[in-house]
Amino acid sequence: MPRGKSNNKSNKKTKKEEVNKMTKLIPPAREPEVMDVDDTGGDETGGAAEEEEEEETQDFGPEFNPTHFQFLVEEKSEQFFEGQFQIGRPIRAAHNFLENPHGAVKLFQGDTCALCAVYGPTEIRMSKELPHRAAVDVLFRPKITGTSKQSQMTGWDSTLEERAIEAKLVGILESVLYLEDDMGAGFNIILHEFENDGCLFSTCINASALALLNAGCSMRCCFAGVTILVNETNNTLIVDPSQSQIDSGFDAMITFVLSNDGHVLFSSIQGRTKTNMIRLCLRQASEACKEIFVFQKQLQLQECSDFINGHSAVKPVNARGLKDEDIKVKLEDMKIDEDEENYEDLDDGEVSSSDS
Amino acid sequence: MDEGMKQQGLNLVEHVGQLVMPGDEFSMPQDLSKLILGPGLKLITDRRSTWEEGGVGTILACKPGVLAKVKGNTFFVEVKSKQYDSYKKDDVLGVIKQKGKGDQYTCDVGTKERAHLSKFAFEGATKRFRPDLQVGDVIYGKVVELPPDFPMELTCVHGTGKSLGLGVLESGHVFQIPVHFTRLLRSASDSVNVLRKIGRIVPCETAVGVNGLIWVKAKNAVLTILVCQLITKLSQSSVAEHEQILKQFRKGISSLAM
Repeated sequence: MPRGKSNNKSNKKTKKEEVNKMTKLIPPAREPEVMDVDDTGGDETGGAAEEEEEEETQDFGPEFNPTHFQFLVEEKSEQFFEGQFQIGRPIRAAHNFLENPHGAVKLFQGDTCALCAVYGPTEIRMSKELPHRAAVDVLFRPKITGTSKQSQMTGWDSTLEERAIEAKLVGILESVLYLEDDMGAGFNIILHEFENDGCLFSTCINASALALLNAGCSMRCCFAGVTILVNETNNTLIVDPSQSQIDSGFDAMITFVLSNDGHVLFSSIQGRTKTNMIRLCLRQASEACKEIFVFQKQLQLQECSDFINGHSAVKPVNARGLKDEDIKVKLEDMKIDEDEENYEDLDDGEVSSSDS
Repeated sequence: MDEGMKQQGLNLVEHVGQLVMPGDEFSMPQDLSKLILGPGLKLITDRRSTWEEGGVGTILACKPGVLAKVKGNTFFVEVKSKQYDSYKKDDVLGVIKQKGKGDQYTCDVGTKERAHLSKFAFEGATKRFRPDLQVGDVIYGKVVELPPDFPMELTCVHGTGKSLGLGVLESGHVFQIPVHFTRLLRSASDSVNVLRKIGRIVPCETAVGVNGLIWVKAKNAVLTILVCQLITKLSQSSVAEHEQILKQFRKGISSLAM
């Protein structure tokens, strides 16, 4: 039907307009500020951090290369919710892109992309079942297994880094999810690396957080992860660095996972740096995480817009969805609403169909 | 102002219809009589003093969604989800998976555990006289009120001994929709309920389980499948688009001329 097709297109357009409206609501991007270290960090540490300067770089990865980013061009036909990540690279996400899982999210942080699917409390393998709480099972699949730098350097297990990501994520999720509520069940979280342009681990954390929210699992708090690069030679911090920035050298790479209620759920550091530098990173990470929480909120707001605008708190009814009074009304006469008068002519068609 | 962080000290009554995220805290309301917290809300009490002693507690939201209130001081969070969580007195559609030698069937309802259905839990069933169901049959049942930690059990009769619509579903078609959409199909108000509007176009029999399974039976197989496809499409689109889709469907049906 040509008419139907055109209608669909117009619907899509209106949706996009809505998204644009949503993004306009967000306050315009702040210009990168230079933080005064003297009055905050400096007091605690006795002025040791006075010389440190901070630059928030907004790097969108390497220059656009049509051959390299060919898949990105195709992705643009899909509907993405774009957030404004004011400190690091821009983030955008598409949710519900898979049918079967209870929650599924495709998350881009710059050019780094991770897919995450969550199966809420369900049956799991007998060997993983626990009698007192639900089990958490994370599966991480990289593009090519066993090619990580660490495994090549050490020469131990070729899947070392993948297993490490899984184990870290299990630790985080076990502290966040209400596992005591469904005993003997399990949460299956499946992560896929789509493209790695630095900060894959923090992208995986954010993708799983969004997927858990999408699935409606009960959680103690929201959580988000941020990676920060410390370069002491030129005194810079880079929030959410790209691969080229990581390759150009750093003193320390710190990953923080922070919760909605201001707790640090996880932190890991690669390399070495001063204590007050880590403290500074934590403050910067909490700023960045707030942005992600706002993004999570907006994504959820978009998804629940039906509940907010329309049919909140409708009354449940008896079996087969009818009340006694309703049946009486039906028996008497079926009244056509005023709104539906405009297709009365089609009602005639229905009558004729019942006759034949 | 920490926009992204959790909200604290919210008022339950004032926040109805607004978005809550996991971790948001509500203060205890003044009117505590018959306060019921539904799915998505949890009561966290202080460990030092029990609730009866007047200890201070907070109400914690643990699911993302919209706070809703129903009659009688009952609050819950409306969540979009595909996973069914069983509660007492829920009307569900179940598929018979096992026919035990005893007097029980095993049903798949969509929860993590299988539900039991007694062979006597049908209208007019006695020891001699009981319906013989096969594996794969679909029943419309009710979740029995049982204490926690009991295995889930279904029944096909009400307390009065009448079935009132519950029982075995014959012929027709069964399919799945997201769990949150069943609330829209089961609502009592005419303006909201889409199923009524569909019924005016194509008269059909339906049974909507809160676990996300729907059984549809129209005059013939073609109409049944068309209605099923319509409901699936409605479940994937937003409420604002429903009117448009129904209009299209109306036109398509009238052009079928059966």
